Amino acid sequence: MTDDDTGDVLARTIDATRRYGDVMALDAVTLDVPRRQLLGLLGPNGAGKTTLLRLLCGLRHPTSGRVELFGGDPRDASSRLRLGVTPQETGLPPTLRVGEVLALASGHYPDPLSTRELLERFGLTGLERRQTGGLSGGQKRRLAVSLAFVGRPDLVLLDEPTTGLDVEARHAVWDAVRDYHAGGGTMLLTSHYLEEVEALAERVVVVDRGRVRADGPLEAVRSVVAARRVRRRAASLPELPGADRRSRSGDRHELWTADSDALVRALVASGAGFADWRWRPRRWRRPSWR
Amino acid sequence: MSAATAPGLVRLTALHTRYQVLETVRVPIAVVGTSVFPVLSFLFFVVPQDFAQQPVPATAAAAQLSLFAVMSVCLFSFGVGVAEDRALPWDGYLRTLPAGPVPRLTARLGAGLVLAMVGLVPLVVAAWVLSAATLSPGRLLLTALALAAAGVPLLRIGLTIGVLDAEQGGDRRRAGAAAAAGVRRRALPPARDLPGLARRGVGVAADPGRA
Repeated sequence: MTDDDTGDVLARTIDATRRYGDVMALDAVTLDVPRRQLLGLLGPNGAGKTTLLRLLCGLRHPTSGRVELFGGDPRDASSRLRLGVTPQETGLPPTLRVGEVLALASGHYPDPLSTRELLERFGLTGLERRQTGGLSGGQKRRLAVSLAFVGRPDLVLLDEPTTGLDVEARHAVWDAVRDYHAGGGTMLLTSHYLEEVEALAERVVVVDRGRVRADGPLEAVRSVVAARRVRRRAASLPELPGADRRSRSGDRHELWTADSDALVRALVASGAGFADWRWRPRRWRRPSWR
Repeated sequence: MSAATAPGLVRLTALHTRYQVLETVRVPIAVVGTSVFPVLSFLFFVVPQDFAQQPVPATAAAAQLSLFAVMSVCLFSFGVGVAEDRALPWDGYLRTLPAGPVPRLTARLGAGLVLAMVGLVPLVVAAWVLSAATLSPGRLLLTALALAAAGVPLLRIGLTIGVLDAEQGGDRRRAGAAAAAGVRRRALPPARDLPGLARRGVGVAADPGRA
């Protein structure tokens, strides 16, 4: 295979829909992953990010629509020769040693990276003979991420690569992602951390409830997803400008806003007071889709 | 891509077999269970009997225990093994590697065979040394083939349950399916004569919704 035979799009979905029983996990999603792009897939848990990745790596087939990987069907093993994937969570076989896990994966590829190189790149040197069950959480995660790079892939899919990692381990993974991208690699990365997508991705696709809600360069998408949620208990609330959406259950009120400054000003002006207002930390917020 | 070619089917199968066997033997109880229990049953229930010194019944007893050993390996390595593996994220990862299902399934067969043989060797040695059991090399080979063939239906039951039923309920259903198959082939007494738990197991196999 040469580099040109798949053109400039390494993977794509066309109107891909996937249901699990009555649940619509993905609803007619059309998405291109162009060569050399670092694409961030952002959305809350259960948004459909993982389902999309499963379609792209051939673990599931779409209920309707099409999925292409390097111009072929991802469910053909040969289409996956230039693809790198990481196990979900830290699901490594606990009785196998680090070196054995890497050897099992690299045995599938014509020109794999050497075990030594991988261990060095992911800060696992010296652990080759350790059984994976005896690794720390951070070490397991780094080993899992390293598996995606074993076969010198052209496209890497990373599903929540740094969930549950401490800051140091997270930055080690980020460095590996940046190195790979700087070397010409293409990547699709999912996260529910806005911070992670901001730090790595050039293009951001926001997915929620099975649909693509926003797609564009980082700057353009940021304003949409930076909405914040404000909660308080009160018998009633005045009409507030700047609140995109509000919901209420009993005396609990929730407000979503893209412009928190304006909302606070309006609150103060309304005389409602905001001593027991609760601001959620800045993670993923579900904005009001207009 | 460079001039290097992708590994072929044979290499991939060998690779998967190697790590399947490694994973299995690193769990001591799996090896102990398959290799020690058949020979222990022989030592406790056959060797002390008078008929252990008569060639025909001793040989038959060894053959029967071998049959149970092979069937349990088939049911466990293909039923429990597949069900457990499919529930693990690691299995999902293996399925994204550029190898189709054939190398992994063949590797599972190979690993099952290795495990079954491990279970039979001590039993055959014990029967040969401690009882009057006797078989010519030709008949021994024939018996091995017959045992492999007898394992196939159990293997298919185990595989089917394992694939369809990759969750906790699988264990009880598998035990029930084994008991039901036993009743049908008259290897076990009719369901009404079984102890309560086994009777329920047979019922569960007939009606999986109750598990």
